[in-house]
Amino acid sequence: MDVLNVGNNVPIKLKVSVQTQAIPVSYGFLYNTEADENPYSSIAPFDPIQNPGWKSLDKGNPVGGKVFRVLTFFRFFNTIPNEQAFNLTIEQIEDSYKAEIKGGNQSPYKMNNSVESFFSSKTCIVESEVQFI
Amino acid sequence: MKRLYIICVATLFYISLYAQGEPPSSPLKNLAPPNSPAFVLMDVTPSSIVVPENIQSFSIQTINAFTGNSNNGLSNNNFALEFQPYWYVKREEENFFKYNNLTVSKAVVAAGGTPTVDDYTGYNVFGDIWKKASFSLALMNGDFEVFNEPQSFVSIGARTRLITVRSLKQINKFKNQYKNYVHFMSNGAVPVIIGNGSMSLEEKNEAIINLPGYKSIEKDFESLIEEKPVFALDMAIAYSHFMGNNEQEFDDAFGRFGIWLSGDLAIYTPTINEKSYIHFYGIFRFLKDGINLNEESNELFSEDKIDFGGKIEFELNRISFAYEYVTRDSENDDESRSIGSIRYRINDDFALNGGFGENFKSEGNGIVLLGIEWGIDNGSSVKLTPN
Repeated sequence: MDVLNVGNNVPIKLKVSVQTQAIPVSYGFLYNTEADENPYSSIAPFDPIQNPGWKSLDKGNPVGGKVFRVLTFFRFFNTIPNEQAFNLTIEQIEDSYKAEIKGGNQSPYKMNNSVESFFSSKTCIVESEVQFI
Repeated sequence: MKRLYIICVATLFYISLYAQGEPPSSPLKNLAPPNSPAFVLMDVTPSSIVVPENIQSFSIQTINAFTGNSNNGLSNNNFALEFQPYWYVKREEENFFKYNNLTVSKAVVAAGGTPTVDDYTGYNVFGDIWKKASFSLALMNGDFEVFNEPQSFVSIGARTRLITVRSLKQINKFKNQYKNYVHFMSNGAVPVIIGNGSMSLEEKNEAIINLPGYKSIEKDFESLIEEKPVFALDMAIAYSHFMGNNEQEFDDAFGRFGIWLSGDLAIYTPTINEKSYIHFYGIFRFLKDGINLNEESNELFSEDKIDFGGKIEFELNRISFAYEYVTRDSENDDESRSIGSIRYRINDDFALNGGFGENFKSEGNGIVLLGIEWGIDNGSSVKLTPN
């Protein structure tokens, strides 16, 4: 897991950007530990294309020592002719997707992400995870 | 020799395509008859009035045709490769609204900031030009009622949708469906599933797409996507080069060049069926046709021709009936193509096509086509067999 030193800096903010014809909905969750099933705080879900600004984590409270996950769920509501074209649209997401953190010692900090796509449902989920210290 | 070369090239295309990945195993959901401009130019498609609804990112099309006169048919060596560059090029500032050609007013743009959903009040009728642009290459053999035996041709073509018109009702549906979807994904069970730290991404995806509310919104959205534009104007251009034949003392020569426009006025008739349309098509085509033989000198000569005609089609969900009539005006004689057709989609994987009537240069000979249409991973195909 990536580590970002945020110390006592507040607020820590998130920004997600992506260029795709799919409809993306992004979610941000804070967990006390990596093993927690449920988050203790979350950011209101948003479409990063329609709402591209910075969003505060945990209402601006300190988040040092917590685990932060950003997930974006994509659904393609357009005609995609075949799996080959679908994979190309996923490449477009991989190339353009950016989840950034503002407020740490590295700011803005671009989070790494993992992508899983599902042709049968024309969906895709991108997940980024970081440990704040 | 040239024919052997063409066959080798076509075979290599097949081999190289399949060598790049797994053999085709799953069916396509979008099927269409072979209709690349390179084929349409040579009048060998089931319909000469086609609209590019289902172009694939990369496809191989094949066609075999048999008519009342067996000498008039095409051989088995007919391939078309069609390529749609849109999918392969990085798309800047892409989003759902832009993809669906929705635009905001200049005043909203001038005000700066990110437009809200309700700011998308306009529609870019030219927005599909790049998205639907495709390029094709075809290799064909046929006698075209001119030669004593089938000759080889190499064709290139391009097509796109110049104008797309959607109704205000359709535009508002896009916005409303977007709002419904984002609202659903932002509330209730979805954020709980997404935030569950013990589920894998695949499990999260499965859980979300199986929610009853998700399925309902998905169904509504899919049905909106399938709605035809009220009007669409397509343009295509193609050139076919005659490869020549040493045995018959033909040098390679200009074959046929064509540029054409096809319009589709689609009237939605939900009272008959929720997927029912009546289509009125029109076509105008300029042809410079070099496939004319002077029998005295045994030399090919070229002449200009103008095609114009129309087609009416009743589309009732899985079945559609159509009739097309196209007149070809030329300096020497006028011709026409008059074909009735029926298409029945058995399921998402298979469809039956039938056609009957007269083709250009058929001189009274009827043309009867019956075919099965199917899809594979790398492209759609049609095989036409004698009725």
